[in-house]
Amino acid sequence: MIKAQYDCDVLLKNLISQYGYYVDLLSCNEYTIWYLIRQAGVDNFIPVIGTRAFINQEMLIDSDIFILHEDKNIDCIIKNLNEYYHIGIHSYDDKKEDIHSFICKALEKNQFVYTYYDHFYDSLVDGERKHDYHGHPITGYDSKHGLYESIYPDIFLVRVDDMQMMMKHCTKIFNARPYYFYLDMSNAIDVKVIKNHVRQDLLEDCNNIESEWKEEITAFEKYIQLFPSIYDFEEENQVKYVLEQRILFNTILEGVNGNFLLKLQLIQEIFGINTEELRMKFLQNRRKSVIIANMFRKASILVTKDKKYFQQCVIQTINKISDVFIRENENLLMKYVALMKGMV
Amino acid sequence: MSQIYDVIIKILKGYCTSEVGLDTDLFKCGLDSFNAMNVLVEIEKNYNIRFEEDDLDLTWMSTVESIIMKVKCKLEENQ
Repeated sequence: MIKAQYDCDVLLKNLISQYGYYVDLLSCNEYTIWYLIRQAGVDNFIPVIGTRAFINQEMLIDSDIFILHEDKNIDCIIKNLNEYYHIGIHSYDDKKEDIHSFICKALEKNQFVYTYYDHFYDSLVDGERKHDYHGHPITGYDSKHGLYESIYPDIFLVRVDDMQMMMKHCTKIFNARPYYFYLDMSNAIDVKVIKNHVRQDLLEDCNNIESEWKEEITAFEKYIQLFPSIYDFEEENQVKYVLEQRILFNTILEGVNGNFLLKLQLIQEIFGINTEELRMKFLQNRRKSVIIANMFRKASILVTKDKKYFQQCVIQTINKISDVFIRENENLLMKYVALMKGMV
Repeated sequence: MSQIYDVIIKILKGYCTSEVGLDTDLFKCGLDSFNAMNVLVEIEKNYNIRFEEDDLDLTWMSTVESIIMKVKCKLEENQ
């Protein structure tokens, strides 16, 4: 058995959602690196500085764009780890070694390994298997059973041969970035030390937050203005369109907005301003994406069953988007601006 | 109660992968957010009721018992 040492309570105390092993409003792509950061002893939110935390118009047009920004955010966090703590990364290179040696080497160095899981290649699962990807940290290797362990209790146990296939497949389809890496602590400075320029960097980032946020509100205004007259579409296209919008609003729930929650925690840490109320209200606001996604799903069912009700449902959904992502969003932005005034 | 129970069980049969009882966790028996909306629309049609937007968080669809409670509330509101 090789295991990276960690205290689960310390690791997760101010990071994961109260509802489970994930970080609110972030996808597994983004939050997995935070497990590595915490395990390496960095117990603040400084690495979040400079990440994108709000939605733009491109994302609303094509929800796949979220992934590009998530990747950029991971790059930003990696850059920050180097900038603030001289922590580097070891990325997997199949020309140098096999994935099993790579993982074992990381664990022997007491590091978690950022990996990608694919349900399709999990031979421990009974029944039909389909491609379903999940970023997660490997925390140990049970040599007796030939299984990699995860931070999640009893799930995402992966056989060595399965991981090999998952890695090959994921590297092929996500070829834009290396999703298999661990932190290189060999040149790291004391992770408890907070550099002097963090305050200034955070202040600059706070201004970026404000402009990104305004951009997000404008993007939703345009989204509503440009919402097509789908009642004129063929039935098949009506269903297709509203189901695409369902995916978009489900994606928003796991989109980049979680970085704002982490930034608010950092503002609290660095400037001593209580950001809890804004964090809670922002989270409540974004959770309404689920309702909007479900309203679109309901509309998709009604297309063939009840035309009048379908139309009502679409109108209600647009109104709900306006309410949540424009009206409430503007109020939250005003609260943030007021909070910022106390930071200088 | 038992009449609503029978109707709900009949609707759920099309979406759950195993037999369910009053307190079975439906989201562990094949129901997901996608087909839960089919169940919701079928309930609306059966009882001539409308679920509002805030009902669409679907937390009340986790068990047959909680669905029955919700339907009863909606029927009372309509009276």
